[in-house]
Amino acid sequence: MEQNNMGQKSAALKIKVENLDLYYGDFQALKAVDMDIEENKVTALIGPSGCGKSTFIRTLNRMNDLIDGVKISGNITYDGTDIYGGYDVIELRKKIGMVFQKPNPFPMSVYDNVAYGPKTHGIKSKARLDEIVEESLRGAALWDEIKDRLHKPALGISGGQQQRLCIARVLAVEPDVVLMDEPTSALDPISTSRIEDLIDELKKDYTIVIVTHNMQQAGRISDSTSFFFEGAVIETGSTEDIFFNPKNKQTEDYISGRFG
Amino acid sequence: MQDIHNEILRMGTMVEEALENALKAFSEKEVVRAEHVIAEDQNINEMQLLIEDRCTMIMATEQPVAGDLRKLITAIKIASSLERMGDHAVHLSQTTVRLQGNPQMDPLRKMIVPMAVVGVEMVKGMLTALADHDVEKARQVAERDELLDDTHMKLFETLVNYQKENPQHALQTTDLLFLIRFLERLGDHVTHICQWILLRETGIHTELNK
Repeated sequence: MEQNNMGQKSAALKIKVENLDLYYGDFQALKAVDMDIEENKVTALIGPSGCGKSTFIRTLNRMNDLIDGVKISGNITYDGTDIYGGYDVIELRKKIGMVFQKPNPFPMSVYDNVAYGPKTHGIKSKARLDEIVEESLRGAALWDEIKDRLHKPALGISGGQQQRLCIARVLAVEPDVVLMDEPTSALDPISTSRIEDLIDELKKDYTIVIVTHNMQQAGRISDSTSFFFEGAVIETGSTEDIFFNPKNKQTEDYISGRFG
Repeated sequence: MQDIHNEILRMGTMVEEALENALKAFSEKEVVRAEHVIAEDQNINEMQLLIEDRCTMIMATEQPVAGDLRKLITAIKIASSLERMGDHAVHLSQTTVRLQGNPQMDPLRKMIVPMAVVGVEMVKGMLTALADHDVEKARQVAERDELLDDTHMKLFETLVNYQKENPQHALQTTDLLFLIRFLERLGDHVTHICQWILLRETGIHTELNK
């Protein structure tokens, strides 16, 4: 955190995106996207289906590298370092983790799900793994519910618990940034509410970027909101400004449900 | 949303009529007209409750944001101010009723009429700004409040001096002192509504007439 002359704290920049274009073959999915993602804040990405927000979020940890025919230009820096030039992609994906729309626990026990990442990164000590599993499950607000069932199959727990398990799995490898692509759209309202509370807690220690179709969710949990349309960012601002007084008519029409 | 807007305009028109009738009754000493204004105030109060309930229901069921949210919030605030303005029409009318049979107060009554005329003009201007979503008009109307405040100060002094010299009319003069205070408050309510119009249209809280 930096302080200005008046002693006010301004958030540091965690990820900076400049002039990002992305093509799937001949189709341009992202157009000249600029975005500043602030540390320890929740940034929400909203927009109609097919507008590029999931494509965008996947560029932040280079998940789009896994798709054939993708061409990317522009700059993305993480803590000031170019993610294409300065980082090992495995290390990058450890620091910038991702939670998907549909909970996707591995077909193994709860414990093994969370321990999988740390083991893959070389942690062998059982005591240390036990510690990491507990910390991560606590961090995902799941420990109290699951501590007596750690060695039961993860696929046997509820949808809301599975999603929190996926969050714990991300936390286990000590990320810096957590990307969430519609993390609650497959969940019931109570599970959604618990995950939203969790996101509010997590932002104290992590930077969160979340794609959501739910305007009320974006309003409830995010600090900053960016509206995407047809691959471009139409408007970015504080969530309060976007939801009380957006500058752009298209933004207003979208968040008011007039299209999309 | 259009229904809410129409209901606000309808309530505003009811308040405008109440104030016009109250002013006419006061300046022409028409007690029956004054009593009619007092009786009709209940309809204005009911309009406020109706608008509030409708806005609350929309907010609960549809969770509006941005411009729609601002329209609802300002509709609730404007309805509240309009209801208070309706009360001031009642105060003006009650003074008319109480002053009947007091012709000695006529010169003072005549001095107050122009202040009430300015108040009613401000209300008309405010309703135009409301109907036309006219931010500039709202600003212009709010500027007139300064005239009402100045007039209030001058009339206050005049009435206090009259009261000192005519203690036998203390009750009636006190009535008129309250009345000019209510008329000054009428201007304040119109100014508040103009501020809500600005918030509704621009999304920015603007204090008019600091």
